[in-house]
Amino acid sequence: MSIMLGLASCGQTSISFTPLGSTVNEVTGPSAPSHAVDGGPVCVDETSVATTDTPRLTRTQLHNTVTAIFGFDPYHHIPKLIDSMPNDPEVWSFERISTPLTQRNIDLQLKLASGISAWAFELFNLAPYSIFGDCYRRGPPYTACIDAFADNFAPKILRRPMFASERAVLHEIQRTHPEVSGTFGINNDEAFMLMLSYVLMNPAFYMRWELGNNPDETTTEFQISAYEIASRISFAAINSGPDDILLAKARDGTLNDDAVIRSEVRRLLQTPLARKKFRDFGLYYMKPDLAFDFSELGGLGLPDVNGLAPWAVEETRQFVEYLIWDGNKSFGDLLTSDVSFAAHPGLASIYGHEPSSASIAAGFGQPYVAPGRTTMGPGRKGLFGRLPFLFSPTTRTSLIHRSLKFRAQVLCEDMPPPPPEAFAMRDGRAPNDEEAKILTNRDLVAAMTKSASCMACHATINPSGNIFEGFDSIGRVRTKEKVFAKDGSLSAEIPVDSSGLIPVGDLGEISVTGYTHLTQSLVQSKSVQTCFAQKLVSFTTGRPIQSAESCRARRVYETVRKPGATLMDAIVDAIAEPSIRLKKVAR
Amino acid sequence: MKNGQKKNGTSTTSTPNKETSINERFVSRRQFLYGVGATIALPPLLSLMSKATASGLVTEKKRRLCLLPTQFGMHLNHLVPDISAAAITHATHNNLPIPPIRMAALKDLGPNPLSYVIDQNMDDLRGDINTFAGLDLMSPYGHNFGFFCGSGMGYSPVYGRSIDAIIEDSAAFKASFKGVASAIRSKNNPWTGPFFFDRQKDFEGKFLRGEENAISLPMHLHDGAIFQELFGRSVNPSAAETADITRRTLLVDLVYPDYAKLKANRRISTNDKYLLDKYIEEMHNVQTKLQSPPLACGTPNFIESTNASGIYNWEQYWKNIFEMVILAFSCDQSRIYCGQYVPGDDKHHAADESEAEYWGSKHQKEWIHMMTRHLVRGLKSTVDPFGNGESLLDNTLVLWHNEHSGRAHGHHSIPVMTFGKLGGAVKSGYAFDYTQNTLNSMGYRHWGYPSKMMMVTLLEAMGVTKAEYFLEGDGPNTYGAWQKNLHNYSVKDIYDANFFEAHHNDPLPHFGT
Repeated sequence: MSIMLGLASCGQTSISFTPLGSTVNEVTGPSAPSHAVDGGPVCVDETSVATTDTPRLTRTQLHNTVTAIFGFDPYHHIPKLIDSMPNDPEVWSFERISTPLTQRNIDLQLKLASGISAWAFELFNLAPYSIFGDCYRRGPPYTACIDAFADNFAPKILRRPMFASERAVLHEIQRTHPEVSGTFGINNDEAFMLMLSYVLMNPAFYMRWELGNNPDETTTEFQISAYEIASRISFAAINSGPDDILLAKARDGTLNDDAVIRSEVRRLLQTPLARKKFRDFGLYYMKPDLAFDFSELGGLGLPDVNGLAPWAVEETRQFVEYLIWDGNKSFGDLLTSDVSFAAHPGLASIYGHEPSSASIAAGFGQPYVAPGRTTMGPGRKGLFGRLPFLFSPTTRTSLIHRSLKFRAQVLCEDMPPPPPEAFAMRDGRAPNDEEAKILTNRDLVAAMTKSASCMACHATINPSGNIFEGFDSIGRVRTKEKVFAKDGSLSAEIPVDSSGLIPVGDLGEISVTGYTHLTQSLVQSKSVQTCFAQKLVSFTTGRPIQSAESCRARRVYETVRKPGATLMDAIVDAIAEPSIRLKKVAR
Repeated sequence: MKNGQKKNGTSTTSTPNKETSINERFVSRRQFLYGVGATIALPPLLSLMSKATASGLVTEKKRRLCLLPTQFGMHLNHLVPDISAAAITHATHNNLPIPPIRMAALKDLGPNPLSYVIDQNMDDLRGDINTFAGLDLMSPYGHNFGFFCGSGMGYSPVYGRSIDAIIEDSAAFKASFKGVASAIRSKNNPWTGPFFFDRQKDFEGKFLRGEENAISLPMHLHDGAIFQELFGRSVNPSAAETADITRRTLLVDLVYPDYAKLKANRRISTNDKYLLDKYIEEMHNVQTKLQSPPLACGTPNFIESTNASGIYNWEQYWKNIFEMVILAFSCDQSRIYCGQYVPGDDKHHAADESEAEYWGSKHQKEWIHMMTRHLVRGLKSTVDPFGNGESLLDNTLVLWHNEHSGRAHGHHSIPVMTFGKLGGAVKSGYAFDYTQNTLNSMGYRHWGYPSKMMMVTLLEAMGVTKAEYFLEGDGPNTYGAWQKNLHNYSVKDIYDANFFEAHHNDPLPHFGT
């Protein structure tokens, strides 16, 4: 159930918040941050902290972490095991950590631990030396060898030093395992595989526990350890466990310094894994329906759509990656830049330019590899002028759907569902086939939603959708709308009107001539900046933002508003903030 | 088309049923014994079971469901027989002034073909069949593929939970079912993997994509290995398999103290503590499974359908899955099967919009018909070890439906066909017509009764109490997705919505016994 703050009815400049667990909007909690007088999030207590449970590693995080620890990509060597783990995706929804794992999940964890160990020892026989060191080859006595493993390698897996009790288990395996009685080497691999598997099955590997340094304290809010801070910033920045540098800073205590944390976050954000994570932010921000189906759009006269859908998604990633890293661009550019990377001929045609110089094959699905950069045609700018956001599966554009997405994603507005009688009312008012075939989509929607009860919300919804009517169903800029009769024949081509009065949060109703005009206004809107800040914080943490994190959102918001501030600056602020040392749990 | 008139020159004359040869594996081993089952003390699979399993058998009937959603290609008119000339029962419901439900016994309708679907290939199955017209989905949306089963597989954007999941969670089911996989789910969808079992219980009220919920078994495995993954260990494991199983078993012992210690930490949240409890419990269950001997369900007669690069013989793949389902049902290691046919050459819009496309994809439809019959015959030819000489089909309901009604993603009068008697809980051998009216001139909007009522029939037959399925509520994200006034039932000048408001959580009238 949504909690509407501010003006409660539809179409007003209110921001809606949904309680914990919702994935509609990201601000959650019984008293989510409201706009301050200046229009941004209210920050009352810099050290207030979100109440969180312990997240599992997402599938991506598991993949990244295993690759970083062992130096090989597990997908290539242990096929399907990681694919079979719960996905817990961080882009489209948040991990559902409140769900118990099934037997199957747990057995897969056991298999992954066992499988990685078997691979390391049986298929790639250099790995044991890098894991256990020279003593693996020298033979008994084994104590020092196992201690070296516990000191040097196991912390990479556990993201903290081994406990004494855990170290004792390794020695116990050595002592009791029958195959350890002989000389180190092939005959004893099973014992070493078991040691490695044991560490991989430790609860500290699959879960990101944050328990601080004193397990006996019963306070619900406490300081987490330096190692746990290292994990937090690492997963937030690169979706992987902390590297050796970060672990070393946790060990020597320097990570307790704010400046060090910020510099470490900036360092991590320059790595390929950070690009891999944040290039998806644009898709998270626009939340498109990626099920492109061109089958009903033939009447529009399609460009080359072969392979178009994945390239439209990939181009969006390249755009975001360029803005954050190579272009060093700002939030405003995210909404208004006319940069395009469309190399696919069909996509380039839609975006109104010649295909960029990049090879289609180069870099697909990979972090940015300097694809050809070009300029979009007129009438289109920014993230929300891209195909993944604009696509509609029918020749009549999804005007209402586009509007709802726009308001949900750009303004964090959660429109209530239509009242029960709405559908019957809509059908009752729908123009008949003869009437419809000479109406623009704008006029058709207006006719179907003209009743007073519909207009309670559609007074807001319709104008926001009309703005996108300057794009056809595959996102081409258009000045005329092709209207089709029921039999599929073209019945009319009617000029489109994408102007209107759009309610935009703090700006109130603004008069715009079309999409590009709107984007220029949005850049300055505090409501839009606030919503962006909330989404960025959610994206970095991988969970819905809570009301207690309003200061975090506030910091990002303020950065976004600073002249010259970049998206990278905003990301750093979203990760490195005062409450990063604190944990709060519900008991 | 009605009355089995096939297009494209296909003969409509009766031909001998040649399909029994397809099922030779089933027939040769089981049907023979089924045929003489009345005089043989033990049904065939019992002889393959361990003593413990066999001695544990009681007379309690086990009811099973096989739910087979398809995405396309079964028009209502190609399924339901013409009953206009038959002796029709005009049944009313609760004496309400609504148009009667029409039902006719298939045995009274003359020889096959009764329709394009019920052709001569179904001569031996006629007494097990029901057809349904006039069952409506209760949603304004049309993505109906997973409305009976598989919401955890991601094909149910409309319904938060399908009934397979509700049954798995019901108290009666949990109390009576002690097998390995309460539900087996399979889908020939190459991008998410073809096979699933188990499910996470986190999709209440939400539509989540299959990848997030369903756990796929590795496609590179041989079908036999999939069976072992589910129902037991290899009879003759390799040295590497043995080492892996030993390592996994030992690991649980080794890490248990770490989890116990963590649980004792006073800083973890209440929810984390709960998750840890569940984790530890399930970890021990995994260990128990690892240590247990192979199940004595019998050895499946799998024929290789995969090679190193994946599935190369889909027909054999599905047959292997059916074999697995029948074995799992036979030794009560599973009770629900959800098999979703997704055509690789997807015409699931076009084939239900246009007659030409419909017949253009005839080979796909007939493949699905054939595979469905194969499963049904497998169940029919296998004695139920928990029955009283009955076949598995007698105690099972196979429910086969299309996603679409007379047009793509239409939700009025979806075509539904059932096989079996579900342990005597439902009738068989009837053509039911629940159609009440035609809403408008578009023809496809024949509206009738909520399909949710059929789901309720199945839920009750599977032991789910009304109190339990009521918990799932009414709304767009519940099974059946009932919302008063959201559907055309609320059009007052045609119909009084109060009837369905009062009765949509009741069983479907006249279908149950």
